[in-house]
Amino acid sequence: MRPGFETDALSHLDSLYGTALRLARNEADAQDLVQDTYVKAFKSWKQFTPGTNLKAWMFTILHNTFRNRRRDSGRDPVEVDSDRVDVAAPVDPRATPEEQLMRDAMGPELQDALDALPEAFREAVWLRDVEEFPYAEIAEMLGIPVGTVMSRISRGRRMLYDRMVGKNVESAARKASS
Amino acid sequence: MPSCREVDPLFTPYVDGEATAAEREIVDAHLRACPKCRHQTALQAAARESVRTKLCRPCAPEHLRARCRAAAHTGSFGIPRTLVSLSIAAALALVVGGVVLYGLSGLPTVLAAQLTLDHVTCFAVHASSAAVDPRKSEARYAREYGQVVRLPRATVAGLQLVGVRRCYCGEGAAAHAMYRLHGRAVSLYIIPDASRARASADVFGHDAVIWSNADTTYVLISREPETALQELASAMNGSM
Repeated sequence: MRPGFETDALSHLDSLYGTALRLARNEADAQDLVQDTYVKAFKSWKQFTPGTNLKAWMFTILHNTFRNRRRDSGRDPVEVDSDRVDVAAPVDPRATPEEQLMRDAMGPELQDALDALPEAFREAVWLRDVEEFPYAEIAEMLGIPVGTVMSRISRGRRMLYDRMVGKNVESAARKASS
Repeated sequence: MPSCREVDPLFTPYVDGEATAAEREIVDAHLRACPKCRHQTALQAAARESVRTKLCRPCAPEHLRARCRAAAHTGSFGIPRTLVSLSIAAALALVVGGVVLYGLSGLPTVLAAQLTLDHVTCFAVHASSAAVDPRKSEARYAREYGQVVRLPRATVAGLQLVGVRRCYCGEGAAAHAMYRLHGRAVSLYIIPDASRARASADVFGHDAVIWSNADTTYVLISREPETALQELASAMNGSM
């Protein structure tokens, strides 16, 4: 193996594990997924072009491994029409209190809300907002057009917002009525 | 002014700071005139900010780091050049100790010890007890590791396949078929291109049965009583 490849690849372990947790949603499957990703990466390291983005290459392997496993287990996700550009439902334009609720959300409840999103949106939001991948790299690793990536990020954020704000509004209403 | 639908694709790059100057100008002009889109971009920005500032990557556990590091030391044919997996390292340490202390030169015990520790590690990490289909698991294993593995089709009451992983022992890569027998952990290791005489061993509170069939060695490990494990091994061997 090329000197340094192992160290470089292992430096992305935390990122891969965090993403695997978001995909698999349980620790045991996430760990299996990450281990398989490294086995494949080390086995096919010659296919990696030096100078290109190793992290994105590893994420592509992770994503494909996850897809293959899920297909074999017969648990294909519900297809989503994420190419369709959503025109938002009418909303109250004076929504700054809700925006504040979103900003006040605690990490664990935000994490739960993200994990509850459909996979396509959960993955897009995580890769963009936590892993900070450019749109083009997300598109390449997921095998979808850049426009679809942006659409999924946009819809994912809106769905997350709706879940968080809806939950907090309900909670505030319960507190007010008790 | 462009319609909401026309400007919508620009909102995400706008919020992410990825829009060009010209695109920003278009979006700014639209937002000044459209409260609904202004709200949509504000909520998208709020969600983005929350995710970026409140969610962080978890750290991978140390044993996973050790397992992934061990994966680097498998050659192009899946044979380990050095055995550095945490479980294997631990197994070797114990086995070497056993050899020194007790003169256990019998290789079946060494192999059984290595795989028993792997068995314990894998079941500790792999908490799933959902049954998986043997045919699909064989196909996935072949696709992922380039190795055809044939799992037994033994119909034993209460025995369910729950996963197939690749593991390593002193003889190279092995397919690790994980089973639950009435909820209890049972492992079958399938080691290609290896022949051994039939043997059994009692290591670390587990029983192991080793046998070979057509240049493949099988090692069955569990805490089941030895006689029950021997019967299970015969049923598995008979179904292959």
